[in-house]
Amino acid sequence: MLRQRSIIPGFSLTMGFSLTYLGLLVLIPLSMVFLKSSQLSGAEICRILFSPRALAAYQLSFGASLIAAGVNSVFGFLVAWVLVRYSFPLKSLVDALVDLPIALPTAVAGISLTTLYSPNGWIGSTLAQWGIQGSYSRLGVVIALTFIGLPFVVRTIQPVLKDADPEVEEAALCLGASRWQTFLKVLLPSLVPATLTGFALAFARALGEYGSVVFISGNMPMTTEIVPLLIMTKLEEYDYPSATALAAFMLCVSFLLLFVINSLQWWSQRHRKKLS
Amino acid sequence: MGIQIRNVSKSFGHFHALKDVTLTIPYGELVALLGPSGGGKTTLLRIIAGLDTPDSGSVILHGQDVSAKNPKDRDVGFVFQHYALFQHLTVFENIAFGLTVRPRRSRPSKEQIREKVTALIRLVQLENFIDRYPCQLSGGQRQRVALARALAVEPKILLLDEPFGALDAKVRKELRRWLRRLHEEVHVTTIFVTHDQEEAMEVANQLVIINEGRLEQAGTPEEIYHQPANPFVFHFIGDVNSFNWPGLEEKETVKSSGASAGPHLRRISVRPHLLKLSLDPPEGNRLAGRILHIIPAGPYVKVELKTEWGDSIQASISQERYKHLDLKTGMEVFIIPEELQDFEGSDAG
Amino acid sequence: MNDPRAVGPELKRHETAPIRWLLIASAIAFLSLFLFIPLLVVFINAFRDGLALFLAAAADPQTAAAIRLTLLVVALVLPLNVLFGLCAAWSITKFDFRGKNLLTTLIDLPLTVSPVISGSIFVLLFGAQGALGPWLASHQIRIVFAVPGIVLATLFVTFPYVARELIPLMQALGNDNEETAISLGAGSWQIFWRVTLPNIKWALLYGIILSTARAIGEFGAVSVVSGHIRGKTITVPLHVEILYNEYNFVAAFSVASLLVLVSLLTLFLKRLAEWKRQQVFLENAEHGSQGGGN
Repeated sequence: MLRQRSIIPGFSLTMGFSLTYLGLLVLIPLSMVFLKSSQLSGAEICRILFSPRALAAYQLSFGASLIAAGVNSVFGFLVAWVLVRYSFPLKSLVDALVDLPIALPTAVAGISLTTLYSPNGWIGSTLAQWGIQGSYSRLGVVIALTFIGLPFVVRTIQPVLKDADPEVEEAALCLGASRWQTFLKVLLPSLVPATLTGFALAFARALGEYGSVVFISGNMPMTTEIVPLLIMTKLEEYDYPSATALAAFMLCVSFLLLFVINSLQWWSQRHRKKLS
Repeated sequence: MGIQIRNVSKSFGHFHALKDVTLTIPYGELVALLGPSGGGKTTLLRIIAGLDTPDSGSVILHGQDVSAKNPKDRDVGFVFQHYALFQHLTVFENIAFGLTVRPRRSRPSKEQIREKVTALIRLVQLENFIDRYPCQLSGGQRQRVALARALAVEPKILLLDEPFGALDAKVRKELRRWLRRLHEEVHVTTIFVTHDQEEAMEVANQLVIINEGRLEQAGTPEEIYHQPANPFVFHFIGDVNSFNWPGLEEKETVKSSGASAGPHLRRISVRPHLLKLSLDPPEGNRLAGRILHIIPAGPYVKVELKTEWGDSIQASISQERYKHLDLKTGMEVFIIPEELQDFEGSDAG
Repeated sequence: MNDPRAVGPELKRHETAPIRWLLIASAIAFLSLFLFIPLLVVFINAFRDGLALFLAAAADPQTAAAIRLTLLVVALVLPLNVLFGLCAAWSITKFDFRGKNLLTTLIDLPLTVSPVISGSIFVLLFGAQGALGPWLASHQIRIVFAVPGIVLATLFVTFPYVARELIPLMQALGNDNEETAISLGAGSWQIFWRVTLPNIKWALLYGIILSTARAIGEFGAVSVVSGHIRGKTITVPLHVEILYNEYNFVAAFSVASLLVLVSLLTLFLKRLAEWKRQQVFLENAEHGSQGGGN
C-alpha cells in the first residue's frame, strides 16, 4: 500500500510512529463510539436520536450555529475588508485580537459573555430595556457561538482579499463600472469560495462548542440545551447508550462537514490559483 | 487634437516617476511609449487613464481638460499587462461587462449588446471561445479578450500597458502585426507601453522615448533612429559601439590637446553596421583591431573585435564582404567608421 | 517591473472617506460587542473589589493545585505533540505514498470533533462500563476521572496543531536542502538538526504555542473525563467553572484573568513567530531566486 521513492531517510520510523500514535489516540477511541452504537438495536437508536429532547437540542444546535455562522460571514467579511483595505489607529492590535476566540479558554469566554449579556450586565441591561433577554436564552447561545466562530471567517477571507489583483478592479473602473458595481460584480464573486469556507469552518466549530455555551445558555432541557450538553448530561447520568448514539450521530455530522470543508478549501485554492 | 499632456509630474514618496512631461499625440495615431523598465512609462499611461493622479500638470483629451475626471468619464480603454480579466465571467461576459454596467437609460438592449460583442469577438478571432473562462485560454487569447473588452465601450483612446510583455516570442510577433491591422481597422488613438525597441519600431508610427521620468524624444521611428536627440536615445535605440578613435577634427583640437600625450584620442559612437572592415590600411586616421570571434549565422556576419586601444566592439558586415575578406579569428584588420555620431559637450556612454 | 504601486498607494480604488469610516466604525463596533468588551469584563470583574481580593483568589491553595495540575498536563502533552508533529510532517512531506490525503485529514479530525465527544470517547473506552473498564478495574488502574484521562483528552484535542503548522511550510520548502545534505554525506540526525530544524523552527514554535494554549485552556473534553474531584482532577478552566457556579465571581474572574493573560501572551508570541517565519521564508525565497538566476 505504501510506496517510497526518496533517498531521504526515516520513512518507516516516522510513518510507523505517526500511524501507531494516530491509531491508539484517535482511531481506536473513535471507533469505540461506533462499536458501542452498533450494539444497540435499530429501534433503540431511533428512540434515542428522535426523542423530543434530542430533536429540540438538534434544532437549537444547528439553528444557532447556522445563525452565528451567518452573522460571522457578514461581519467577518466586513472585518477582513476593513483590516486589508484601510488603515486606522491601532489596526495591528485589532488584527491580532481577532484570534482571541481561538486562544482564549472557552470557559473564560463563557463567564465573560454571560456576565456582559445578563440582565444586569452592561449590554444585557440595555437589551433588557427593549425586552430582549441576552444570557440564559437561545439568543445567548447565538452570541457565544458568534464569538467562537469569528476568527475562522476573518482568517479565511483576509488572505484572499490581500491577494486580489488591484488591476482587476481598475479594469472594471475603466470600463465605466461604479465602485458599488465593481464590488458586486467583480470583487464579491471572487470572494465567494473563501466566504463559504469560512462559513463552514465557523459552523463546524459552533456545532461542537461546549465551554462557552454552558454558561450563557442556562441549560434548560427542550429550550436552551445544545447537543454537546445533552451528551454530557447523558454521560453524567450513566446513560451510556444514549450518549454513544448521540455522539455517533454528531461524529457523522463532523465527518460530513470535514468533507465539505476540504472540498470548499480545494475549490477556493483552485479559484485563487486561477486569479494569480 | 488628440492627447495633450502638459507639465505632468508625479512622485511616489521620494521616487520621482515623472518629471515635467509635456507631450502632444495627434488624433488616430498608433504611438509607442518606449524606455527602460522603471522609467515612468506605465505611470504616464495610468495618468492618462485617470488611474493615477499627477502631482502637477494637466491631461487634455480631445480638447477637454480631464485632469479632475474619474477613469470612467474619460472615454479611455485600458489593457493591463496581465490582462486583469474577470475570472468568474466567460469571454462573452467579460467583453460585455462595460456595456452591462451602464446606467439603465444609456444601456443598450440585450440584443444590441449581443450583436456588438459578437462583432468584437469576430474582430479578435475568438469565435470558438465565446463561453470559455479566462483560465481556459492561452496568453495570446486572453490578451485579445482584454483588447475586445476595452474596445466594447468604444473608447476614444486605447491604452495598452506592455501588451505583449507576458507572451512568448512567437505569439508576440503574431500579435504585433495583428495590433497594427486592428489599428488600421478601428482607427482609435492608441498608446502602448513597451521596453522592446524592436516591437516599438515595428508596430508604432510614432515613438515617445521616456527615461528616468523624463521625455527624451518624440518622433517617427525613422527620426528617432537617424536623428537621435541625445546620447541616451542614440544608445537606447539600436546597437552602438563606443570606442577611442585616434582622429581629430578641427574644433576638437583645442579641447582635448592638452589632455593626452601621444596620439589624440576621442571617444566616438558608431552603429555596428556602419563600421567597415578592411585588410588594407585606409587613408588618414587609422585604427587597427584583432578579431576575437565571428558569428557567421544570420543575414549579417557579426564580428567581435578588440581595438589597439583596448575597446571591445562589434561590427556587422554582409555575408559577401565576409567571404571576400576571408576573415578568421585572430586576424588583424582596420576599422573604418562610415558615420560618426557626436553629441556636443557630452560623453556618450 | 514598472510598477508604481510598489512605491505608493493609488487613490481611485478606495471608497470615499465617509464610507470608509462608516465601515471601519461598524467593524469596530461589532468587534467591541463580541471581543473587546468581553475581554475588558474579565479584568474589571477581577479587580472589582480591589487588588487584595484578586491576589487572595490567585494565591488560594485550590487555585495553586489547579495551576500545578494544568502545568503537569502541559509538561506531559507537549513533548508528545512535538514528537508526533515532527514525525507526521516528515513522513507526509518528504515521501510519496498512497493515502497521504487520508492521513492529513485524519490529523485534522480532532479539530472538527466536539470537545465533549473527544472526552466521551475515553470514557467509553476506559470508563467503568467501557470496553476496557472491567480489565482496568481488576488491575486497580484508574484512567477516567483521574489525571491520565485528563492527559489523554488533552492530547487528543491538541496533537494536530504542531503537524498542521509544519506540513504546509515543509511542503513549500521542498526536499532540495535535505537531498543536498545527503549528497554531501550528512547522516540522518545531522540532516534533521542542521538542515531541516533551522528552516522550520519558527513554525514549530508557532505550533507549540498554539497547542500549549489549547492544552491550558481546554474545557469541554477535560470536563467530561475529570470527574471534578477537588484538589485532584481540577484544571484551571475547571476551577474557574466551579468558582463561578459557586457565585464566587471575583475569584472566578481573577483566575480567568490569569488565563486571559496567557492567551494574550499566546497571541503576541504567535505574531512574533509569524513575523519571524515570514522573514525566514523571504530569505529562502531570495536565496532561491539567486540560485535560479545563476
